Amino acid sequence: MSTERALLRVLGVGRRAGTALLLESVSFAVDEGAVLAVLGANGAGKSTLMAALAGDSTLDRGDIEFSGKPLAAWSPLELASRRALNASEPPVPFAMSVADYVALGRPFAAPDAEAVTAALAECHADPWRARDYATLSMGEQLRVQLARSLYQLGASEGRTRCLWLLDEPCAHLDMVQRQFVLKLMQRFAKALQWAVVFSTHDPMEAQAIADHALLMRHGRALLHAPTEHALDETTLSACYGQPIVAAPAFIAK
Amino acid sequence: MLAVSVLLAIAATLSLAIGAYPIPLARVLDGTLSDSEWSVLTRLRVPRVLASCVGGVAFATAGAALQSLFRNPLAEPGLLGVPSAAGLGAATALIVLGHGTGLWLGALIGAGIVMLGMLMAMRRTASNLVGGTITLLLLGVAINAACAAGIALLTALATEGELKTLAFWMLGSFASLTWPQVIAMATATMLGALALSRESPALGALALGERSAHMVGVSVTRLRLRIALVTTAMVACVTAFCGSVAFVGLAAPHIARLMVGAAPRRVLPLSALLGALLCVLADLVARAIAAPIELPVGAITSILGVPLMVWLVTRRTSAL
Repeated sequence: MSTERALLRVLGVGRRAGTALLLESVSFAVDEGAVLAVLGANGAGKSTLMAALAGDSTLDRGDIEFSGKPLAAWSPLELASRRALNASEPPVPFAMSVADYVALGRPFAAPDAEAVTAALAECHADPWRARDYATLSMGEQLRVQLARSLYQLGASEGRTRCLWLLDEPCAHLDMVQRQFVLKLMQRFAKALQWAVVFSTHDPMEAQAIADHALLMRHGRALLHAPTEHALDETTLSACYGQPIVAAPAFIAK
Repeated sequence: MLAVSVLLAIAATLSLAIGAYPIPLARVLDGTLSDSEWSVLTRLRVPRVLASCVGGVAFATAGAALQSLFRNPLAEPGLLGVPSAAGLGAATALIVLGHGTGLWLGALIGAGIVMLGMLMAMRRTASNLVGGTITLLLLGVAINAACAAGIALLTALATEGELKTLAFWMLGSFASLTWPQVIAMATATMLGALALSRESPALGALALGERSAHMVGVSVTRLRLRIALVTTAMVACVTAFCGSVAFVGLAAPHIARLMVGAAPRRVLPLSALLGALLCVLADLVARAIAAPIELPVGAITSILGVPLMVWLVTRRTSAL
């Protein structure tokens, strides 16, 4: 990994809750234009790591740098224009159209109808723009949430070198939708030189689009390597603490 | 929005003319009012109509902001415990100190103490991004419970006359306010409403949830502190003079949201107008319907607001 192209640097990050270690000296970097998949059993620290990258939990140790600058040194608005997160979200409390929902990606700017439409179109969600967000199915809501992040990061204006974080983006999707969302993430990483970091329970998702994989166990980074080296029966067995074998599987083309 | 403004202007004008002592509006324009009529108009009617407008604006905008902050359509100004703290302060002034006229001062002090206590507690505990809102809510529940207990204890000591004064104050009334009191209320409410409208983009983003609002650039913990401070200050000032006027803070934002959607930058101003309209009408009905007896205005706001809200809410569900 060429460190001069690293957009995100995680340096010996540690976090504890009481006596429990949630993260311990996790270090890795993600280049611009690269996709990183974070894998691990339930409770391995994937979501805690994503929360740390999203800056919504304080670190007990280590540092996180984005674009050469520690996260704490960024102003909230500057950071919001370059870093987005998609994670499980609480229901929206009030009736709201899909277009208005997407526009909340930039709450302090006047809504840009063209950019909202472009973001919805990227996620094949434009037919729903006038629908009430709450009436969409879970999978449809997820695509609208992705559109919100694309709008937030100025995808249609071609803003480069952003950081897109996704915590289990495909958890509730059917196999066709899953493939669509993975390809979308990969496309923006390559087209706009974004760093994309996503967590998943499915090694096949990592195989599908990730350049690198990070295997976590008990809050530590077990292995960080190019996906083709990181994922095999031995490493995955170590990661999940159970024998794992490769077998043929169904995949949407 | 325009229609509501026009309605408000009509209601306010009617409200100036109608009452136990009717004032013909034509004579106001001619300038041929008698001295006693003039005195009723300037010393009783105008302050009263202004106070009901201001009270409506304060409760409605505070309610709208708190509903966005708590991401909960059930939130209302009473949630943070300010009206009940004001009630306890008023009860203390009336029953313990025996000052019927110092009611409002007691209410203001009570509300102020609770507000300070809450801010201090929030500094320590509500700094968490996601859990902080729940902490604030639970603090409000605790304050409400404590104040209700205090009022219950005090009422056991009260005489019958004191009980009646207190009960009437707690149901709310825009009557017998002096000009300085109205000006104080109006200033606090205007400053508060301006401060809240400045926060409307951030409040709008909270619909996404605290975590996502943080990701799109909202400083959630600081926003929470500011909204709590502004809404409690506003509600405290109005409650001290007018008592707690029920339901306006809950109903006006709902009605506004059903008319113009969920964005706070549209909901806040419309709620302000609707709250003022509801309070002016309620005050008019309260003193006109059984004149010269005055009914408690808080009861009338509910009687006017409930059917309107039930109609709007059921209409919306059937349309979806």
